[in-house]
Amino acid sequence: MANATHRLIWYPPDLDDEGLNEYTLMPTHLHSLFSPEELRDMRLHPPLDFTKGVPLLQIPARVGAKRPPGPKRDVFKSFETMLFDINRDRAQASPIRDAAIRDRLVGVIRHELQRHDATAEFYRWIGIAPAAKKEVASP
Amino acid sequence: MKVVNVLFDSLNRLGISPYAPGINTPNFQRFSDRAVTFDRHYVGSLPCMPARRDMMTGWPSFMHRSWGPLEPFDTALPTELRRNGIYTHLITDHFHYFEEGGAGYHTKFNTWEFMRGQEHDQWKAQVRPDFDRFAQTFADQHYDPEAKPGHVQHMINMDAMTEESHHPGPACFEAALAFLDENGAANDWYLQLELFDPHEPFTVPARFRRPGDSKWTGGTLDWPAYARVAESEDEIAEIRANYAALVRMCDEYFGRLLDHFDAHDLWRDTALIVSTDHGFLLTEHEWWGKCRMPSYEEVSHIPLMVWHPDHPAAAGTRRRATTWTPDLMPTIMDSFGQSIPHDVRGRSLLPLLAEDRPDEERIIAFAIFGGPIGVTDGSYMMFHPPKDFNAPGLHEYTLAPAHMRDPFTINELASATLHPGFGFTKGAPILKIEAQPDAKRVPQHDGHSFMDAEFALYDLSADPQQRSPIRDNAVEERLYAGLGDLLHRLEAPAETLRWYGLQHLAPT
Repeated sequence: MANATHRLIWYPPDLDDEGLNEYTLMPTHLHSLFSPEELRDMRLHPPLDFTKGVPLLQIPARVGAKRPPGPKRDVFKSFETMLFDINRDRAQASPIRDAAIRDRLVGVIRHELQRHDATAEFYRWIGIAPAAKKEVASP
Repeated sequence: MKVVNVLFDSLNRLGISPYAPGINTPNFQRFSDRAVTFDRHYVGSLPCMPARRDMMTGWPSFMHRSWGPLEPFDTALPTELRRNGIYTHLITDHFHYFEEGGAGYHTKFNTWEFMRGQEHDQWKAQVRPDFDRFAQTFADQHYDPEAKPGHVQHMINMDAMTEESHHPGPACFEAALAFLDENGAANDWYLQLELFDPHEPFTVPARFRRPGDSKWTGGTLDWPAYARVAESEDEIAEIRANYAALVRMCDEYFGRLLDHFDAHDLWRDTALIVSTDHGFLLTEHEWWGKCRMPSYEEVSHIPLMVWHPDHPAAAGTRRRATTWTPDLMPTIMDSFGQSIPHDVRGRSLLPLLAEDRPDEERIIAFAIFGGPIGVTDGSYMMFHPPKDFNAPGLHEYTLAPAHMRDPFTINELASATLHPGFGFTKGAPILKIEAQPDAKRVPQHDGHSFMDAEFALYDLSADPQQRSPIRDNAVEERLYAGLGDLLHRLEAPAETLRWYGLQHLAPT
């Protein structure tokens, strides 16, 4: 957005909510493969719109899995959703509250989630309601 | 305890002195004089990467999966050793580990070294190769850039090997000696030293050739295609002379490792294992290569020599008990005093070092996924092909769907269903994917198909060269019963047994 003046940093309401899933056909973390324990409850999920007709493994994203933030989870959890006016506050030192701006930027996130075929449980996990179906066309 | 596991690639059993007099290999002989030499050691899953998966896991994969990455549920030797405080190091020039279908093997080790440049390792970059210059060195039969585009990378890689020490095989041995210099005095480590040699192309410095071993005067002729023999006598002699020279190089450098063991008396507390993943046909049965034809003795019956410091009195003895590649993992675990994981299907060879079991009946099987199954008890060998290699009904079971160089295609993946899993998947479900006839698995990834695949039984004692198949109901029944037991222990899928026409094989 050329005239962007605000920055919204959005956190899921509960980082420890295990309703999140990994979608992959190559279950690998940074250093190692997924463990058999992680894979135990996985299911085959119908294709998403970017998988060219291929189904995917839907694997519960456990809190203890070897993915970011790993041992830094408590640091992640010390943050919460913040809105900044970056014209006035380039250092992002003082979050502001403005429901109208926030709702507009949440709309931008929602549109990106739609474009990326985000799953229903991801909307729940991230705490942003999906748009009504017809709205998909343009921002 | 310390263990050095030396793994050659395509080292023919009858290519080294402890097994046959053809090529003079004094250092393999010197090791055999000190170690225990196994006379009936066989492969399991084939070729290179499936054999390595067997070695890592002790669990043969050929009924469930073709060449592919290590799976998330696989029990892996280095992981098990590390869990128990044993340091693991890999030295290898096996570039297939660094392709998509070779993932997850080398990363299990604490540390690893990779020497570049074997075969068509995607190494040195020449955007516009000088083919005229290459044509002056390399014979058209094996290196025509139009006919064999995959061989161009090897010619490019060779440009970087102006001295013997630049060759990846010698570089691997040099790295091994450096590892031993640094760590020989420390305890509790496992070194896996892998040599791609003497795999084709049989690239070897001229000093390992012998006067008069070939009349060939043309360019480099060292890379036979996996095909029926169609070469002239001079061409055959030249190719075989290059293989023999490369085996001599393996022997000389292996001797340097033995020298180091002698100089530092590593024999006192260090086990040394020498084997290979499979052999290679050098015109026997009118074939070059492997994979396309049944895995005759030349491919499936491989060398194995083991030195273990607890068994010095066994020096120079031989064993007739039937053993196979999946035995290596539990043998190494056992050498470190570790318990053998329950999903291992091989068994430790250490009891055999103390005492041979020449009369024990042990039936093992080997195969390329979807290819004819070889069955042997060490005295007889039987090949069982499926009714139709292209019939539907065969499936790959995997959670890492990659072939040698490529991921599975969209068509393959679109056929995936989720299977509830096997005992060896440790509670995880697993993808069940159609093994399609045009998938990029061995041998069709090279545009080849399985050939000469008919039922056959051979009496190895009377006919070790497998020239004349026999029929013998009693032997066939016994081998099929042993195969049935084994496939049951491997949890072979019911539809795969049907595909092979083996659905009647119930466990006894």
